[in-house]
Amino acid sequence: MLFNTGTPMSMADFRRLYDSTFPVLFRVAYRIVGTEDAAEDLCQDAFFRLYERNLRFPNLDEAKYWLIRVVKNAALNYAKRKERERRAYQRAFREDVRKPETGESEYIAGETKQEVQEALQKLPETMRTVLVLKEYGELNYKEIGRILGISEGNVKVRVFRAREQLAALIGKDGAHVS
Amino acid sequence: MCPDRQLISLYKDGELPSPWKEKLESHLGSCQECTHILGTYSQVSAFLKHQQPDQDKVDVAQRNIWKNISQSMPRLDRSEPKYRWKHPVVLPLPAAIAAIVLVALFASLVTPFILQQGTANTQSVAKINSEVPGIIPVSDMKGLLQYLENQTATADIVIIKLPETSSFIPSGQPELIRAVDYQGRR
Repeated sequence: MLFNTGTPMSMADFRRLYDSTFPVLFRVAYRIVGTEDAAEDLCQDAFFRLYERNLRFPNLDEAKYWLIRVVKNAALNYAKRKERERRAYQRAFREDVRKPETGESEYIAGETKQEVQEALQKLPETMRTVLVLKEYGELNYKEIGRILGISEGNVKVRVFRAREQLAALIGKDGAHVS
Repeated sequence: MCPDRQLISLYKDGELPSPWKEKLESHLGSCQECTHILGTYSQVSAFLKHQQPDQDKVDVAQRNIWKNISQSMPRLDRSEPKYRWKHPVVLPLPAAIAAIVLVALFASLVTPFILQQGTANTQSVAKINSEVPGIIPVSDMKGLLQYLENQTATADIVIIKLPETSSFIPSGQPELIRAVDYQGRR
């Protein structure tokens, strides 16, 4: 057992947890906040919190779920704060300060890509979070349920609905997607 | 008849259990509509995946943050918490002085009793010692014999085993006795 409830985490355990969890954390944080600097800060804060609280977990997976939960919540709060600031700025100066896009997709034309990007941001938080964890966290439904504290069935429904909304934009030229 | 779209979403995520998975796979082989839905879901995933940061950037961030963490956490191999009490006990100065005065007062009141108790014990010991007869209360030989007889009645029986050989080396008083006898004969 890597982690024991009666013993504190050793340096080797901490390093193993860091190496196995960081890429997932960073991708999830980046997807939500949109910038690498902010994603780095959020990930670092999460590991510091884990250390400072001297938390103990029954196994590596539970520690990983805890970290993802912390990063996800912090990232969502960060994104909300930034969105409020952006709107306030927009109101004050009446300028379009939309966030520039990051990444390139060969699949979809530029206009549609922008629409999907906006659609993703417009998704309800509960659906967006589940989809982000699925696509970037590379987690299964059971793990997502553990992280968010919801049932596996609920995860299935949320992923499906989020996917449907995005697919509707992508397949709007086709007749198959409602 | 086409299956529910949610089943296709589950299948895309590898979450469809075995009997249904094979059935859907066989259906997808013959249904263009369901294949298109699956393709659309895959497009959504592909698009989202393309929005990810490059692996190189992730690696660089991972190294940088580990450097920061390892520098800021010099004692990760802690075995025991430094303080057993989570919060320090804060005592106001007047209360501390009052506590010291009370302790001193209590000590001054209690100490004489303790000392007195110690003296009483010493006296009682002395008394016991005085009561133990150090001198045998007899005045003449008859009384002494009487006393010894009484003592032998109560005392433990002591058997002294004498040597079996009769070759004693005459010394001390026996020699004197023999000398007296010799003079008497003369």
